[in-house]
Parts: sequence; structure tokens; C-alpha cells
Amino acid sequence: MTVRILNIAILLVALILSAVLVRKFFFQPAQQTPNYRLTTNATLRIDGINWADSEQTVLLALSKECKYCSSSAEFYRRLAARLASQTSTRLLAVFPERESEAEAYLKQLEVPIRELRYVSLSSLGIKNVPTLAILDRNGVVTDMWVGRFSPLEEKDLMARLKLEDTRSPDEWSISEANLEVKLANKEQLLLLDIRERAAYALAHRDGARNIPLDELRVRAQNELPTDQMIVIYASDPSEADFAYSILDGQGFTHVFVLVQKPQ
Amino acid sequence: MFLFEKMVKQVLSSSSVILLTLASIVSAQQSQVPSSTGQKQTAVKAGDEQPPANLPKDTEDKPDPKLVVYQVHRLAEKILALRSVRAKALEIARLASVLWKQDEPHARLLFEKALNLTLANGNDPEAMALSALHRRVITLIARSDAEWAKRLMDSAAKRESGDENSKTISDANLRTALALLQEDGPVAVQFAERSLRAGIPWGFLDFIQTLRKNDEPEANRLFLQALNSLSQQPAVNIRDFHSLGLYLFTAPDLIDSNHHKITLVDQILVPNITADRPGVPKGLVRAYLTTAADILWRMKSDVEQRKYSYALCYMLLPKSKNVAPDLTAKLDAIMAALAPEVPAGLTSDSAFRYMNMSPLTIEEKLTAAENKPDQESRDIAYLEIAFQAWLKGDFKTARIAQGRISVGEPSQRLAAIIDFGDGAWAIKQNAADLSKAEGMANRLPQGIERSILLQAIAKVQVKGPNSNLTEETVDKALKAARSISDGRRPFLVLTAVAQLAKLKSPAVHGALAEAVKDFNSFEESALTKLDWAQSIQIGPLNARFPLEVANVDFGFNEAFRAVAFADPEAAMARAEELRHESLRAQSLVEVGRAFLDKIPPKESEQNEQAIRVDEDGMRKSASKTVMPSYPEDALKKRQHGVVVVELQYDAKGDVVSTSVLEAPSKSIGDATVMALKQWKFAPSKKQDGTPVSVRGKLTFYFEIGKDGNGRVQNPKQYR
Repeated sequence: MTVRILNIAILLVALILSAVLVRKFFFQPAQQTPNYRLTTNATLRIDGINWADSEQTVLLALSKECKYCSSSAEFYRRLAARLASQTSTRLLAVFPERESEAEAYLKQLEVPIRELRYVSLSSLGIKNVPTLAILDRNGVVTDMWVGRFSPLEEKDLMARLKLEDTRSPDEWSISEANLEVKLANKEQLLLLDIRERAAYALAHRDGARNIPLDELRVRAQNELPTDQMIVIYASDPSEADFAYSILDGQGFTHVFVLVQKPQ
Repeated sequence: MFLFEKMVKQVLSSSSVILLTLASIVSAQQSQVPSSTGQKQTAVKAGDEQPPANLPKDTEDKPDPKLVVYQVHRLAEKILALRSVRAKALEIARLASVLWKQDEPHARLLFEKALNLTLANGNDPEAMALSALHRRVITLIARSDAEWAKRLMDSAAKRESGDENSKTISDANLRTALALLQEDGPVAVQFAERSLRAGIPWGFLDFIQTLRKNDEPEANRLFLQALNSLSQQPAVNIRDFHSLGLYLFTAPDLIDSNHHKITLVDQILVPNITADRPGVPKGLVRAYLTTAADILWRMKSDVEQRKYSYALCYMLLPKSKNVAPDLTAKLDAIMAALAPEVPAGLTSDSAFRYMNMSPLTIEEKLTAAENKPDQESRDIAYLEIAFQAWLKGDFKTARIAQGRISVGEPSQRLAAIIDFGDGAWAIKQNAADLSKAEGMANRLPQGIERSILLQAIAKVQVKGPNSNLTEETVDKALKAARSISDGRRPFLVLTAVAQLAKLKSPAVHGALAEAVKDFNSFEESALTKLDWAQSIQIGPLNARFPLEVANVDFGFNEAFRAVAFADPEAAMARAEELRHESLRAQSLVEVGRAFLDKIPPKESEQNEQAIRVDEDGMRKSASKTVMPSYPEDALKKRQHGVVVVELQYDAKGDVVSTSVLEAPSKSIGDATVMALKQWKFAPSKKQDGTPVSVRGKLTFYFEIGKDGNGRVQNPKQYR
């Protein structure tokens, strides 16, 4: 008889426990399934936000723990400044941290974003920060970028937002003619060839150093000078652009992409 | 009491299910904490495809893979030495594609050359042709490295039009998707998705209809994505949208085929979407109707578009009544709004009378033809009847109609074409009726129809026991081909040679020499843009009968491939004799393919199975590491610098191959390899749990300190 009572007691405890768990997990607003990943064309819902308030919304998902968010501050400053004059586009930052912390973080970075929200990024399907999404007035994601912006991506984004390109190409690219002038003046610079070894072995620019693109992330901070101008060239502009964003992300400040004439 | 216990137990058993479910939700939530990332997902793969590990030593009796690869490098040089930019760009890319498995770095280099050769700016015809070629090169790259191809396409688009989502690039994406569909479905789908960035490209419907045969859910998903993409466009071309409906609907008499019909509705032509295709999910139809209502509702279109909008609405209304009654009112309202703005003829039901019209019977058609007022009109009508019947395989009707055509010459040629069609049809059937096909072939005069039909017969005969019989047929086909006068002749001679090569016939050498000579006797312009069809013209009607027959392909590449596979060396010698550069380049690629085919498959498979990871991944999975030691001689010579090694480990985590990609000296490279061979890795598994081999790169720095001592270091981030 005591065994039976004990059994019942265990069963009751289990029941109460499960009821607590059910409450805890089922009544929390789980918006999406666990493996959901936000993509373009998806519709996003955030409590208390009405997308129809403006033509479109630029949504920035950031976190104060993310170093790429901090190192992209300059870009966010530019973006926020340009958008401030546009009434049709709303700029909204979402953080997995409390609003007060997020506000302090943005203040420290001097990024003037006024509208902030504390959200669970994973429930929105945002797996990585920084993520930037453009949403239409129905909350549908029309464009999305993950990670730090490269110059070409930035250009692309600005074009889509119908904003002037905020960065002058001179800040990140160099023409053949300008390069020749610099070389003729014997200016200190490093020409970086990021093509395959075989392509480099076959022919390369005088004095160019070869680090294939897929090795750049590991080798850059071990081999490249931080105090010199670095000029990247590749056989394809998008690869040079990618290399630029690797170096930029690692804190190299004098990086330029060589704009080559088609052969 | 007992009852209560039983009840509690029941409840408990169900709550334990809940607990289990909760546990899985919790773990799933934990696994998706956002991570900080510096790059786009796609970009991470930038250098993912890298040189393969050293090829293992060759096995006995088989050609040395390295030697074969070297031979192929030589072929590449030959192609690159050609003058014609177009010929060399395309063919060097094809060779790269063939070489990829055995020598990825060199293949990449060749692809790069092809890309560079075809870089062009401007709108002149030459530049446009080069740009088109550039896109074809990218399509070839997509077969080997889809991510690279995507990046290239995007940057080509930006370069050409300043717009990544331009129409041209949509088409390029779709062409790539179509080209990849048979080989690699998932990657093809990725390209098809990309093609939707700028509306619906031409051929998209074809793609999803083909895909549906193999992977219906995926095809349906793409269809929905296309709807979505259209619904987001500010200005939708209603005709595009209407055509997309052919995925769900078709004309009543075409229900069982993938074909569709364009029908006249009061002076405009619209796709006939009257009938439902069988087995199409209701959800898709609903989604289509909802999107349609949405697009039509907000359309502010011009006069032309309004007509098409009205026609579409008219055809969708009955469907909405069945599937989505809630949309009927909206569609009704749209139609009511459009009605005053379209021609009055369109708003009457009779405008749509051809939609459900059942086709005329043969007798009706013949009678109608007979009743035409003049001889020419009658002949045209008979040719039309013969043509339609021919396409459907109804040769009896075709012959009746042909017999009534009054003009002698077209009628005779038509008789030959009908015999050909009859024979070709007999071969196409499941149990090929060879004797009928042979009967037809024997009736035909010497010439193209006879040659093609005989070659198709030989293709069937070759499966039988009597190779002499096959050879005889091929010989007859060769003879028939010789009496053709236009540029199609050498191609048919070559396809016959290919058959002889497969039969290992001694006659192949002479015949190949003949084919090469024959190709050289034509000007290049006479050998391009060939039409593998016979056309018959009466008055304004030009009926084009395709000379298609089962298993016979008239492509130069396929035919030369068979010749090269039989004897690559001899084929190479003949290839060099070809006068026209594009043909020479094509044949050299096939020789390369034949060389590479002789390599035993093991080596290439090994690389294929291995998945590639970045250095982070390699180092994280290393369970035992040994640092290289600085070789004495290198230290003495003060050799220092970076070492990069490509390493592959097997499913158990043991190192199977290493290859030094870069090192200050041989001894430093050797020392690194010696250390790396002692490394051990955690066994890796694919997502589905199957063990997998892994390859990737490792970097070390050999440095000499101020004290003169040598030090070997990991990259800073791994110290």
C-alpha cells in the first residue's frame, strides 16, 4: 500500500512539473519553428511594430557582443545619417540585449539610431549578426545581407535604398593609372594577388605578393603590413571585393581594390 | 483508488511525451544562438574549392595519371594557340570542365583564361557575342563549382548592365539551371531560384515542368517562389503571369502532355488554361488565384495589358468558384472594372469560343481542304494536314494528304519525308520494329533521310549478336550520306565513323580520314547553324519536318568522342588535320576527355568524396598535433617563411595524403609533411551520419629569431 501511495506521489509530482514546463515553453511566444531561418520573401513580425507606418523599413540586427557590428560602426553612421533625411524609410535596430544596454552601445559607437527593440533573434530566424534586411510595408523581407558590408555590397544597398553612394570609390579603389603613378613615385605599397597559385605562377604584376583568397583570412594578420597601403587585384571583381572585406574586418586600414581594365 | 492510479498513469504517459517534445525544443533552441560573423554565408566558400591532394601513385597496367594530366595540359596549350578567340575560349573552358576532377588547380586556371578571353564591354555585335560566350563559360564552371559561378554571374551582370538583377543575367541563370538539371538537381534549382530575381525568365516554365517529373515538391516550391517574385514586382507582365498558369492548367485536348496551346481570343493570343492538369495540388491553384487577384487588383496597366488582364480574369473566374470561392467577388469586381476599357468583342463569351473547341476530325479537315476555292489553297491545306499528322505519327493520314498535293516536286519530297518519319517512328517504339524501319529505309533514295534512318537502325542492331550486320548497315548509311550536297554531309559521315569506332571496325581509319577531308572541303560558314530538318514550302506555308530519330545525335562532339575513345592517339593526329579552328578545338577537347577516361576512377573518387573545410575546421578537428622541426640545412641557409600544405584525412581521422602548396625550401616542406603525417583527426560524419573524408589547408611559419634559433609557429590566431 505504501508503495502504491509513493507511486501516486511520484506521478503527481511529475504531473505538476510537466504542467510548469508546458506553461513555461508553450505559452511563450514562439513565433517560428526552431530551424527557421529568415530569408528574402519571408514575412517578419515583431510585436508592437507596424511595418505599414512607412514605405519601407531598414532592419538592423545587432548585438553588443559582436565585433563585426562594432567594426561596422562607421558604415552604420553613414547609413543612419543618409536615412535621417528620408521620411519614407524607417530605420530600426533589434538587439538580443535589453534596450537600455543597446542604447548605451549605440551611443558609444556614435550611431544615431533612435528606434530600438529587444527581441529574440533566433525566434525571428536571424542566425547571424550583423544582419541587415529591407522590409516592405507588409513586413516582407525584400533584401537581406549578412555580415560586414564590402564596398560593392554597400554600393548595392545604397542603390536599393535610392540613396547616394555614401562612399567615394577613391576610399576603397584605385585605378590602373593612379597605381602606375604611385609605383613610379616609388610609394610604399603592397600589391596583393589573391588568385590561385597556378594563375600567379603563370603571370603576375611586378612585385605582387600572392596569397590565394581562401588562405587570406588565416595569413593576412601574420604576413601583411598594417602601416602600408595594400592594393588587391584578382581576376574577378567580386573576389577582390571579398578580399577587401576580409582585410577591412581584420583592421587593415589602407586597403584598396585595383580597378582593372578588361583584357 | 485503483481507477485513479490507472488514470494518473495514462496522463503521465502522455505528459512524458510532452516532456520529451519539450526536451527536443529546448535543445533545438540552444543550438541556434546567433553567432557573430564577418562575412556572407556564400562568401565563406570563396576559396573552398582548391587544388586536390597529391594524386596517389599509379597502379600497374594503368596509365600514370600525372602523365595523362600532362598530356591534357599540352592539349590545352594547343587550343590556346589558336587564333579564333571564340573557339579557344569556349573549348578551353570545356577542357577545364573535363580536367577538373583530376587537376582542379589547372582546370581553374583554364577557366580563368576562358573568362579573361571573353571579357568585353560595349554593345557592338562582337562584344555581345563575347558576353554571351562569357556566360556560357560560367555555365560550364557551374558544373564544377557552383558558388564560383554564382559570384561570376553577379559580377558579370554588374559589369554589363550595372544591375545584378538584369534580364540577361536572369536568362543566364536559367540557362545554367537547365544545363545542370539532368546532372545535379539541387544546384540546378539554386540557379533557377536566382533566375527569378528579375521576373520570370523565358524557359522557366519548361524548367519546373521538367523538374516536376523528378522532384515534384521542389518544382512546386519553385512555382510558388515564382508567384511570390511576380507579386512583388511593381509592374507585372500579365502575359508572363498567364503563361506561368500553364504549370497548373492546360488546353482540354492536351491534358496528358507537357505541351501547351496558344489560343485566339478576339484578336489576341493567350495561353489556353481552360482545363486542370491532373494531380496538381489545390493549394497551388489557390496560391495562383490569390496572386492573380492581387496583381490584377493593383494593376495600373496600359491598354494592351488590360486586354490580357481581362482574358486572364475571365479564364480564372470559373476556377475560383471551385477552389477559392472567397476570391470570386474580387475577380468579378476586377472584370467589371476592366470591361469598359477593353474592346467590346472581348467581353462577349463568344470571344472565348476556341478555348474549348474540339479539334476537327481527319475527314472534316480533308473535306475542308477539298472545298478550298483554288489549287494553291488546297495544296497548302493538304500540306498542313500532312504536317500535323506527321508530327503525331499518323502516317496514313499524312500519305493521303500528300497524295492529294498537286505540285510534283514538293509532293515527292514529302513522300520521302513521310517514309522517313514512319521508319523513325517504328524505331522509337518500345519494341522497335526494325523490319519496318529497314523497309522504309530501302524505299528511300540516297540522301540525308536514308542515311539518318540507317544509322538509327544500326544503333538498335548493335545490341544484337550480329556485328557484321550492323557494320553493313553503317556502310550503307555512309554511302547514303555521300550523296548529300550541303554542310550536313561531313557530320553524318562522322556519326557513321563513330559507329564504326564503337564496333572496332578496321574501316574506321579510312572513314575518319574521309570525314576530316570532307569537313575541310567546306567553308566554316557552311558548317555552322545547320538545320537538321527538311522544309517543304508551298505558297506562304513552310512546313519544317525535324529529322529526329531515336539515339542519333548529329553533334560533332558526341561523334568525335566515340572516335577518340576508341583510339585517342589516332584521333588526335586526325584532329590536327582539321582546317577549321572551332572543330579542331572541339576535337582536341574530346581527345582530352578520352585520355582522362583511361585513368582508373579511384583517384578522382577519393577527391570527390572528401569534403573541404577551412583551416579553422581542420585545426578544430585535430586530436593529435605534432609541430614540424626546423631542418638544419634550411636554418644554415637562413631559409624562412610560410608553408601551406593541403592535407586529406579519411573517415577514421588518419592522414591519407599531403601536398606542399608553398614552402621556402624543399627541406622545410618535407619537414612539415613529416610532422603532419603524425597528426590525427576526430572522425568526421556527414549530416546523414555517413563517415566522410575531409581535406583542407594548414599553414605554418618557419621563423629565425635574433638569436639565430629557428622556430616553427602556428598562425597567430592558433597560438
